[in-house]
Amino acid sequence: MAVAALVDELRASLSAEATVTASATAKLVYSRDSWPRLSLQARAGQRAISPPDLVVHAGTVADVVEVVRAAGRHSLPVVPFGAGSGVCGAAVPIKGGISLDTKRLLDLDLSRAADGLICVGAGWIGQRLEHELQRHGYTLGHFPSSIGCSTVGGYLATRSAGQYSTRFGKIEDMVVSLRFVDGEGQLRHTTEGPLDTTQLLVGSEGMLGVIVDAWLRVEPAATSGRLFRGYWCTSVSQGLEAMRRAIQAGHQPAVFRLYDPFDSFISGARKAEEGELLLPTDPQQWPRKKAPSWLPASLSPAELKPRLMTAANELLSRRPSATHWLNILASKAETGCLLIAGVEEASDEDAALLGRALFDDLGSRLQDLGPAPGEYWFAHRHDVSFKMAPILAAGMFVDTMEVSAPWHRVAALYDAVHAAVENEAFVMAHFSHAYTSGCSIYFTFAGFGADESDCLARYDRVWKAGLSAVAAFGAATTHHHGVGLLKAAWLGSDQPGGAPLFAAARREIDPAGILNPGKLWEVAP
Amino acid sequence: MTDRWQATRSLTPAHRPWPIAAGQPTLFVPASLEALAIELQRAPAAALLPLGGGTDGLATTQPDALYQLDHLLQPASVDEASATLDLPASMTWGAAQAIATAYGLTLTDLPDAFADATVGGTLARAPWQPVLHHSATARARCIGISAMLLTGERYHYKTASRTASGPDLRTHFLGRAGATGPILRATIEASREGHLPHDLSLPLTAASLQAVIGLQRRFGRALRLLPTPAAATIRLRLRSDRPETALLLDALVALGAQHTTQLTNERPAADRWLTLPFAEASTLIEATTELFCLALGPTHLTVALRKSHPPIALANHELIREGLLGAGFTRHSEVSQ
Repeated sequence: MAVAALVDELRASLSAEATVTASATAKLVYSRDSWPRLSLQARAGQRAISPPDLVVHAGTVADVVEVVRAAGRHSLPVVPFGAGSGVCGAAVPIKGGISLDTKRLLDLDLSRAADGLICVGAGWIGQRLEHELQRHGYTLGHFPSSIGCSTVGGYLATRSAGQYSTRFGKIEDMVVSLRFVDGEGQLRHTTEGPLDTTQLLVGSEGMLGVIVDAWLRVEPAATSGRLFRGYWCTSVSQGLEAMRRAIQAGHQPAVFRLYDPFDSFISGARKAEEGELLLPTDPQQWPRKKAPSWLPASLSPAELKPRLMTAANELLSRRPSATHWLNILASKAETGCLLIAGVEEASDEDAALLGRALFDDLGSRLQDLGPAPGEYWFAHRHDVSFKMAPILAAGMFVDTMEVSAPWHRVAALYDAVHAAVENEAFVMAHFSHAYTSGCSIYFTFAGFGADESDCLARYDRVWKAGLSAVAAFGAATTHHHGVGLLKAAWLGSDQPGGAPLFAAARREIDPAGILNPGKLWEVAP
Repeated sequence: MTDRWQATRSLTPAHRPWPIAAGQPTLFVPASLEALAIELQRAPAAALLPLGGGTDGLATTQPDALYQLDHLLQPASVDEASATLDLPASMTWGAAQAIATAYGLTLTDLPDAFADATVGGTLARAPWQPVLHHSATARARCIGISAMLLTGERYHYKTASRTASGPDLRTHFLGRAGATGPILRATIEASREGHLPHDLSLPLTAASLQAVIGLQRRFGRALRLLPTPAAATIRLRLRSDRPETALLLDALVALGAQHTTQLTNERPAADRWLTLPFAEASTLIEATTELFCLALGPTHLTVALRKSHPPIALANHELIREGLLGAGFTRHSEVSQ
């Protein structure tokens, strides 16, 4: 196949808004998403798994149709690409082909917003969409930490969740229907047939169609109706029990987050317990930590942090058991857990009513820390995505693993995963996305390696050990990051017997198998 | 291997109220799930269907045989902490509710007509789903299933509340009337008793449908609209566990609402459901007198046409249905949540 000829063919047939390129830069950029393992590989000097043959920015839905048809004629894979914020490798074009960027699909129909419905193009970045909706008095209620660098199409393709999912649900709860281009280049609607196939397309990670737009539910936006409260729990179990009881009693907080002892320590919860959070309401006015006197005063915090990381890396990489002992030390750093609860409603009146009921319920069981911890979290809720780069730059590995389980297994699952990975990495977790029958655990792990190769090997061992523990527990190995290449081997645990069903759907929608091939159930276990 | 015909006995209308008048499907009682798998591979598509509670008045497929699963499925189990019940597909909702009650749980505010319906039959019902609890359908409350493909292979969907484990492959079974293989078990999310809405209902006159829609927009999580025998009356049910209910009560009283203590449910099993965005609902309701039931979701007004309602001949029903579709109603496989 002559790529140059295909580029010319597409340039001639696509709209003026579309671009087609086979430049080395574009191919490098679209060879990966934000899967941390790919960053480790890049740091180690390894090349991308496989770059695409060319990159197309579709300007219209008709462009998507044309690109898929052209790909079919040339037997080339098509890999839909949103903003590349996925952390599991779902958008990596492992078999080359066309990376199809959908960010220019920016139609927005607000004519039914008063009915609680909008039609939105797949390319909208979450933050921009939310701004636009709030300008008209509405909210989608979808606030992932990646909101500034992720698209509606990506949310739908990976079953994304935002930080307010307990109140608004996950993206699969928000979508009413969607349009997609199938593997034969036909534009289809999920409700056109006798059966609604919306939930078949949601989570299909580009393998059952290129999502071009969707009808989503919206609600009136909160202007000031937002209230937070922090609570101190003596243990993870006590915090989980308080969450479970509150959810099953019918409360619907927008935010419900329980941090384990180490994560509570990191988040400054101990200060809250000691009363040091009797601080100005504005978190920006809180005092900064004073540096120890033995550190060189000439170094700024920005300069100091990577040096300390590097020193720790060099020190600890010579002691294989160091992470085990540091995990034990970390567990002693804090003696309790921070729970943050928050409500968000369209009016102050509603928020006050809901908040009072929820906060009274929690306050009857836990120590009330007041609003400061929650307000601090709200001000810094998107920071986590920006904390990974310095850790990677310091020579460490870091990643997050979100799993879910019924309530009766959550605490034991937390212990099991912790035990499975603690010899290889530091591990901490918070519990969020609470539902009537269960909740999600969000693990963060970080570690060191003797060299880049050892770092990658440890990273892989951590994931294998962690997900094996989750699967052995009968819990779900992914809650809202999707599957990608990272978790495909565990699909058989989450949906046993799903392979023939998925293959049947694939044959129906994409008989030639050109849409994002080699992912989900097509990954060899 | 089980001999299908040796194991077959007649299915009489008196035994099971199967709605198909012409011909009598025979009942196949497999000795094991493995034996059923063998028969499913032999039978042509839709010739062999699972036996439910026989309550579905909309069944249009006449199988050669129905198969019984009751004796092959493990009994129900309850996860009290997670408020879920793992139910065999052959269990009726009435029986399931009895188990839930023993654990201080309740499955749904189930319409009476569904007490004899089976869990598997309801989930397989195509294409419509009843509203079971506060606009949550049986499907919405179903967080896991076990099923058998026509190839005899098994499929299991995990019972965590939410996952991101690829597409929801339950689509292959839910709403397919058993034609793609039987649902064997379902895990249903329940509610804790004492936190459910109490039986307080308020009859309203539908002259101001927009007012009701306005209430729904503001208090959607605290109220639900119950089916009524005429479009002229709307009955609201309030969730007593929502703090905003007090505000809602004030608003309703201002609208002239009156309290009643008797909650009735007159929705027949044969309802067909159609939905319409709020903006277009008012005109349509005023123009249509044949609507039987109404329900409000967060975004849509849903109406039901009673297929077997005596005053409405089938032909009229179809005309109305087509008229509704032409007027902007959309068919949904289940009521929007």
